[in-house]
Amino acid sequence: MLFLSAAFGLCVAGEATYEQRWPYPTTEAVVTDYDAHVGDRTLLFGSVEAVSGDRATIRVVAGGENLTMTVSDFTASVEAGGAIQVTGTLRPDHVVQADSVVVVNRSTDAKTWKYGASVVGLLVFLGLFFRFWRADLRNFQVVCRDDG
Amino acid sequence: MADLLTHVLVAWSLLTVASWWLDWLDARWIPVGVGGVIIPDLVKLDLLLDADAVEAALGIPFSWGYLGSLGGVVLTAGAVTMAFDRCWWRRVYSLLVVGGSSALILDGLRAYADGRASFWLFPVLPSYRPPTPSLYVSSDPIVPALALALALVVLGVDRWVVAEPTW
Repeated sequence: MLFLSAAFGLCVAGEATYEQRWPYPTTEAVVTDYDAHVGDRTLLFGSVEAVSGDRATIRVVAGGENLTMTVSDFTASVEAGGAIQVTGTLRPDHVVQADSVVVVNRSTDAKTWKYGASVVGLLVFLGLFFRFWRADLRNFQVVCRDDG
Repeated sequence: MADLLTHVLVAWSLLTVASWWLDWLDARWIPVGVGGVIIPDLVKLDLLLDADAVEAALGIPFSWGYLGSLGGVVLTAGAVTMAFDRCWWRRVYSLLVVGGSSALILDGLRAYADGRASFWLFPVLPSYRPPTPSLYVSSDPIVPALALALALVVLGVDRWVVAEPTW
């Protein structure tokens, strides 16, 4: 219980100090008060809605709100439904002029593939683990199968 | 972060290689260490219980993301260790931290648009984002393919070179 409480405290302390540590305006700040940050450099994570020439339309979500933005100087290969990171400068009219773009998920399928691989990973772990260990639900313990 | 399959295969490979020199690290203990890689992945609890909902309910800042940091591994490993018999606590805890750290290091190599990884050393170095070589993105299928190749090589060496040949 002590460890779980401490882990919870870590999640609170980390988030409480995030704004002071993050070197850019936070995504929430950009989404909720865009005009105050025009001219700032930023790093944003967004889902791609459309790509046309050297511009992409992305949707950035934070704090329960979302903002549709245009990424200019966009050269990455990604489909609608994909996800990107972009660093660049915030320009008027919700345009971010990209310096660098990383494609996190090239398409919706890439995201599905990633989660599928994670499920397989979990199953591999469970298979490995429960070959040697079992749950003793009566005592809320994990016990070695060799111990009878 | 990399997919969980990659983390599991890499941790299994590292711990199996370590077992060639550590007699106590037998087949039953390797999966315990592999389990450590799940700790940073607990950030995905956000899919089940949105951090914004937690913030709204409790009225305090909150993010699951810090379970994917050094502090998150150290503390969550402690909580998981309590589920094992007391005589094994030190061994279980060490293995979980090793497994969790391997996942953090691997995640620290993935691509960030500004060349700096996340705050994964929090709270030891709370404001430091280590440089990343941006070796991969999390959805790249070549990553689990390479991890699988590594695991197969280690499995082969473990079975036919390290273990006593039976022929």
